[in-house]
Amino acid sequence: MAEAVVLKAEDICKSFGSLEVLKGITLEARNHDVISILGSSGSGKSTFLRCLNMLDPPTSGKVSVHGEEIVVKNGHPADMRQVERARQRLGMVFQQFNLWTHRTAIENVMEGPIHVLKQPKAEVKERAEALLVRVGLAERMNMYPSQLSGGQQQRVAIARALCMEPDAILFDEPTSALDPELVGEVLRVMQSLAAEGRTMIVVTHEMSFARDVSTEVVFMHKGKIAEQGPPKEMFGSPKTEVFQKFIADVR
Amino acid sequence: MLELFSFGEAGWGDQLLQGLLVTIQLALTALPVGLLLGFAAAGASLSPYRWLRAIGTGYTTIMRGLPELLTLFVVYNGLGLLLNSIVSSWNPDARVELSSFVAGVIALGLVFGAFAGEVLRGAFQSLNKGQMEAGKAVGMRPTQVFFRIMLPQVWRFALPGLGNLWINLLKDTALVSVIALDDLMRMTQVAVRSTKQPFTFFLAACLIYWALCVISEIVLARLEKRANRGVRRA
Repeated sequence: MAEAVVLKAEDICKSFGSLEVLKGITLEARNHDVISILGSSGSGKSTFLRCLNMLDPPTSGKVSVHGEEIVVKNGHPADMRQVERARQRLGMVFQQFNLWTHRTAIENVMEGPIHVLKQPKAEVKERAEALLVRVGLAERMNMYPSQLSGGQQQRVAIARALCMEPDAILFDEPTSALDPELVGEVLRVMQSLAAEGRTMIVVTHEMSFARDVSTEVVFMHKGKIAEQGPPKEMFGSPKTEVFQKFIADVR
Repeated sequence: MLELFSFGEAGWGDQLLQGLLVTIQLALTALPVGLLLGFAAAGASLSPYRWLRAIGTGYTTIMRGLPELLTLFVVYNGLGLLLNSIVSSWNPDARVELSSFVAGVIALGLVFGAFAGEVLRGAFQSLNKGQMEAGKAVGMRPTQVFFRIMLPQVWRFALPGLGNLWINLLKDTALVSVIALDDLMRMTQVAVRSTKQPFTFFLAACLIYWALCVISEIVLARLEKRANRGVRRA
């Protein structure tokens, strides 16, 4: 039986002024899907991800979370409360981590569940501690982001997203701002999330992650999906010339 | 000489102390007024609406261009007249008196607000956009993003500038002595006139104002340390 659809994007277009960045993207994420979005810079992949949680509302097209359409009128969400509810169910991990600099690691993780979901503090604290242990930061919980390495900050950011107990997590180039030797520790955490069946949409340049971890690969080119399919097929026999060239260039 | 500063009939100690209390009261009352005006002005000048931006910029530009003393006179005389003409249109027999303390608070608040508006505008613009996006992404309301992320972080950029403004405010309180408010400055002048000891009393006033500034700087240094928590020292 097919899994339930968590997130659905239909014919998403996005323009910044006269610049057309997305030209009709349709994508569906079902429970336990791990979708890697590849593409060269400027292909619109990050913008698409930001359309999904309305950080950049689409110019046209539909985004639905669990079948509930987020209504957008004239490029602005019609009901911010609805957007906020949707965001509570969609975690997001940023390229630049964006940990709150005035809060310690564990405070960063606890902030959303306590102040947005209004969950009891003791319960949240227990969960936050377990999550930080899980991402390997048991010893660093009370440190400020500035005292942590990039890889550690990104793992805190992943714990922050997880603590909201989201239905899906959006990753916006989570390893692109990291020193090469720190990429592995973040990818390992993401891999373990995929293994436990988390629904993830990952904009990435990590070919190994796309090939070995994801259940589906989407290749974007000039604001459109150029090619899409299971990783084995995509990497085994790329159909489009642009994707063939992309793989060759990345290698 | 010390008996000049003694308390009671013989000396001026209690009068100076009273003046000092008025000075402190005035500054501490004008501060929140000015801060609120400053936030409003910063908010207006960062607003997406052109008319609001015009109001914000107009206020800060005009206020900063006026001598503080003139602002004080305009508020004390002008605002009093305006209030009376409004009130008398309701009830011809009624009179309102704008006390010199209230006039001082309004004038000093207006001046502080205009300068603070510029300091805060710069501080808000220095915030990293990603910090706010992370708040939105967990589903925070705009008010939560403001109070839980922007406001705690904005002090880091604003406190050095606001600290300067506070010290200016403390010293500008001396201006209200010209509208007959019995602050430290005025009490000093009264003492000088009565004792013919200008050097002694003006020096004493200098030391008191200076002590206020030193105390302020100590408090500000602590506040800055707190605002900078979590930020790596260069």
